[in-house]
Amino acid sequence: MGEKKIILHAENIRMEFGGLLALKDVNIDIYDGELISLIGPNGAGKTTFLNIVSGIYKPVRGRIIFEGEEITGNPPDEIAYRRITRTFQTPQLFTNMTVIENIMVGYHTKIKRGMLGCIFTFPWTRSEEKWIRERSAEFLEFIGLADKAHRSVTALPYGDRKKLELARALALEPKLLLLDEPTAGLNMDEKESIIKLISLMRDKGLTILIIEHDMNVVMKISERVIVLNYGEKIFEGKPEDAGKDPMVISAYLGEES
Amino acid sequence: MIMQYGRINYYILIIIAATVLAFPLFNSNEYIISVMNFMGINIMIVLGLNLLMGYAGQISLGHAGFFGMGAYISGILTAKYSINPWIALIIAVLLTSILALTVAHPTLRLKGYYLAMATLGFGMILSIIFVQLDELTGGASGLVGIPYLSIFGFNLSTSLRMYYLIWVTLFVLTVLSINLVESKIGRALRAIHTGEVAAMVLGVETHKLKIKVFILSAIFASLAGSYYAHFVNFISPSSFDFHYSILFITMVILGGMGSIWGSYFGGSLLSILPEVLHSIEDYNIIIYGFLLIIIMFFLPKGVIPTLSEYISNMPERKGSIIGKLISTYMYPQKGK
Repeated sequence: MGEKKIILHAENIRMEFGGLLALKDVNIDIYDGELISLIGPNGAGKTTFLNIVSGIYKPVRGRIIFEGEEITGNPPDEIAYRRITRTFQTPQLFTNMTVIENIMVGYHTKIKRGMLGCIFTFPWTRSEEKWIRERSAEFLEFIGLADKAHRSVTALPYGDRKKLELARALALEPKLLLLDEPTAGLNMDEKESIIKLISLMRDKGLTILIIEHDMNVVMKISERVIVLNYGEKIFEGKPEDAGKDPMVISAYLGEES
Repeated sequence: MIMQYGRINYYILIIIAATVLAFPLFNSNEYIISVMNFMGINIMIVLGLNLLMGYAGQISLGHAGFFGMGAYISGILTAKYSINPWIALIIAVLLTSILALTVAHPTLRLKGYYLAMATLGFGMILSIIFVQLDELTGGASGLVGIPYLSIFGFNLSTSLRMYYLIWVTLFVLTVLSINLVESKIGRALRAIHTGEVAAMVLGVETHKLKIKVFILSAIFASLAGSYYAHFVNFISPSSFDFHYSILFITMVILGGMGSIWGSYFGGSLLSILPEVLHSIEDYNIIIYGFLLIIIMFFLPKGVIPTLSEYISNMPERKGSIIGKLISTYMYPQKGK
């Protein structure tokens, strides 16, 4: 691991909500090209950490360095321009749009044209419009939703929504992808196909941070695991070692130590 | 063939424009033309408001204020200072934009009811200013002596002449609106509507975009106000008070949020209805209210979106000609 480049460095991250400590000076490094799992019991601060990296929360203390530049407290859209994006625990799709349009929003950062540029050009004179539509259609083909391209997303089953949200995030061509429980609430088949997608992305060299509850999934796909408990990092290392660690075991089973 | 997608709105506009522009050839009754003029002015405001409300999902209960800004700035500059009406109109648009920017920056950080309250307050402040600044605005008794507009020395002194100016302007604004709606920014606006945080993490500058579309809708309203002032030659504060903000919102919702043609429908229906119901004086308010309830009860998405949903489901119905047309022109990818 040592020779690998650090892509994201989170240093002494502290987060409080009304006096409640959600993260207690957490240090997390993410290496370029790895798939790292963030696990821990409910309320451990996993999602809070994701919210801080993606810019939704501003940490009380600490710094986030991405590719050598500090991004602490930057708004989410600026962070997205640096090619960090995420998915949510329950998929946040744009319900007033069709399936393909949802993916098209993912290409937002790829086009420079602003509001005036859009007002004073016809859609068919914008070369990027065709490009986005074709790329989005390819994406839908890839995740197996091509036949539902023009349906409203409200008509999609839960598993497809999860997949669509993942595809939308990938459309941004992220350097760092943050996934908040991508397999939660899915049946075995759906889980399988999401995991396949994620492994494919990992093999292509995308850096992925994933919050996951299913230990089987964690074991199968991640190279490294970080365990949080009550806002503190209690373990960092190989997934197969996490299950043997007494701290981790007591955190999950609640044993007196 | 993919590029065909979306052109359908421009074809619809051509049909509407041809009908409206040819209409006076068949009926140039002074009263009807002037009702049509008010209709065009209303649709202009509703079109802009729909970009803000229907697309970006941000309510404004103060748009009658921007309408009034346009009318009063144009009115005052031309009636009191004899400035060229077109220059006055541009000044009105500029000042309204600046005001909209100032208002939008803090208020659009608010959401839902709070945004509604803030814009409501803003609209009320403006309507109080129209009354209280009586040296300039003529106060409650109104501002008289607003001149007609003219184009290259051609005086737009009749309803019919204004008719063409208002409607041609509206069609140009409609083209610009369709351009916007069917673009990356249009998608981003709709994304803000149903998932602001999700839009942000995809790089949509939500706050900036909300401000921009707020200003854009204020400009539409200001322009409508200037035309209004030069059309009726007399303005008073009661035409720009809170009730009109509500009326514009009703037009948006009735016609359909997030629908260009919904703006046309809502704007037209609520401009014509009071005129039609005039004959049954005592009951018109009751019928008017009842109609609104019925429409909202059965068509909660608004008239036009419900209709277009019905039509776009047609391809699945066998042998429907409209269905085939739609599947060829709107969803060509589905074909071959």
